[in-house]
Amino acid sequence: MSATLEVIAAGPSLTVQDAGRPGLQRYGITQGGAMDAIAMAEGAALLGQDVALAAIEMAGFGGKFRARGAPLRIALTGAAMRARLDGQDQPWNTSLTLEPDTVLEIGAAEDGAYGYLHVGGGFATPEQIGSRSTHLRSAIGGLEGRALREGDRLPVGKDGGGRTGMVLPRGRRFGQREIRILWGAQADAFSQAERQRFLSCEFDMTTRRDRQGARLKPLGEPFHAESALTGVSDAVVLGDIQIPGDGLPVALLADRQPTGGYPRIATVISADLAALAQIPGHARFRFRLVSEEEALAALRANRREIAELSRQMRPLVRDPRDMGDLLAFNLVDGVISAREEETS
Amino acid sequence: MASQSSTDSIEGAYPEPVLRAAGDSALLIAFGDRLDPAINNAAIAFDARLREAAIAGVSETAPTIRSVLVRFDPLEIAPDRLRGTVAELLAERDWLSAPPPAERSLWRIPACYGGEHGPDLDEIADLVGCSPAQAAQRHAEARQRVFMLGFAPGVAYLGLLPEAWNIPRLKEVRPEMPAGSLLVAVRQTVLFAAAMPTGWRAIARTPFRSFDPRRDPPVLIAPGDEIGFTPVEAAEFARLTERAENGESIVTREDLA
Repeated sequence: MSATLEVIAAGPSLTVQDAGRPGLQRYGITQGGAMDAIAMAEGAALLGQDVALAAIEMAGFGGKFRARGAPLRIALTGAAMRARLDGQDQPWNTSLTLEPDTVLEIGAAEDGAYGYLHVGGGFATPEQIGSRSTHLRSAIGGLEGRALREGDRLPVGKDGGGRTGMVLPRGRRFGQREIRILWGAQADAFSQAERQRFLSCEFDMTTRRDRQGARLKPLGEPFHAESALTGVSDAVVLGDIQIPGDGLPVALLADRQPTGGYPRIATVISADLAALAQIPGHARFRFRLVSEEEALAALRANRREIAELSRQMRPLVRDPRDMGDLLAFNLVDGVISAREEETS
Repeated sequence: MASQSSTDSIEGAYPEPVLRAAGDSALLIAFGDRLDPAINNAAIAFDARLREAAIAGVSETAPTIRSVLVRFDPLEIAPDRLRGTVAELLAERDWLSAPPPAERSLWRIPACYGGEHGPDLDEIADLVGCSPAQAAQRHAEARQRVFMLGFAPGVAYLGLLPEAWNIPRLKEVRPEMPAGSLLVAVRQTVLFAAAMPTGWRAIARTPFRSFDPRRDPPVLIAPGDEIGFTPVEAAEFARLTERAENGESIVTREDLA
């Protein structure tokens, strides 16, 4: 019997995601895929497998899961969530083996917005239009194009195997409250003063957010374009900060529309897209203008870090022989102390 | 010169194409800021030229109503270099005088006007200044061009309808209209591919799925194509809906010379 992962209980928004569907914007189809691409790479590194394999994206809250038929190798990445394996606390950003009939319970996100559950071999739900990513609006990908729910059994691909019980350092994107931008394609629709105000303003990440976009609440006046656009739509890109008629910015995220008619004042640099997606609800943050050169240097650094992930892994065991390895233990402690702050 | 005369005669066309960065991994090349067949032809033709050029590091291009989106990996091709290459291609010709795409289609698509499938037909007819039957007939007979696929998978922006159809959008966004809805405003028709809220008025509904993930490609109609609607009664609409759900084709296609 091939292994499956059973969903015993599901948080409000669990979706199967991979790298999405690039190259189809001409059909009105945006790439979609995981909100935090770095977390996907972390999961692939922890399980020693291809980054293209599908995982479960958990928005804000996890669920209860059980391996069926055979043990499953699992990795937990992205926003740290309270996890328990058969009642025992399980540190985040780790790999583990889920024996059949043991229960993995994943609670609320503690330092971000999107957590990920990866399996060895990846989820083997059917591909649609070249991807397993769920796009809720067009009801494609994942399981029947919908969010996962209680009773679902997800097929798992063939696992090449490998060790579990490894941990990766927490990414720097968690806790990042300064998101770097370039001026957007229509920034000239805004006055110099309005643009300056955008840079000095503090924003609140509202809970009006989903995979399409996030409403940002400025701590100050709404923003207004100086010259009205003609309203003829143009292409939008991932990370665009759009200013609709009410002046309250919207960050356009993975499942954004391909086109829009509202002016975009800024575009988040590629290196900070995961950090933007992971800002927790009600957290405050700012935007910082950078040059194109800085944006590219940040992207280069970002890619280098991803390429080096497998070398960053450490065994999770508290074996005295490993005690000299301060890096790994500091990181595990970091997760624990973050929890203590949360509850204190 | 040709480039001068075509720009002067097209309202809303930019004197020169405007090239802007959209973040660190995309460029937007805009030919104007109006819904106009010549501006749209320029975008479609330049998109085709970019695809033909197959620039290393460019991951995708897509035409819109008035511009072309170019997505690229800035670590494979430096933005400066890409801008230079794009500028060279732009200088090759007067894109605003580009003809429509060589291979394009005329689609005949069934649509059920008025009633539950086009609840706003009477109001639209009032605004256009004719009877509901005339409004349905005129809308069906108008050969409309596909300006863009956007907003959501397979959603087609069609136009331009005659000047009398320059009717405003609704003040309030209304709850979801079903997939296949034909919505009109400002001399355009939008063909919905999935149920979505809208601020436009619903004149009809087609059983045709402009986005069907079972098809390859999932979207058949392309920018530059033309569409004519064939009015059908509600009973026929129901039969055609069933056939479309079974994966049968319920539209006809002809080559447009």
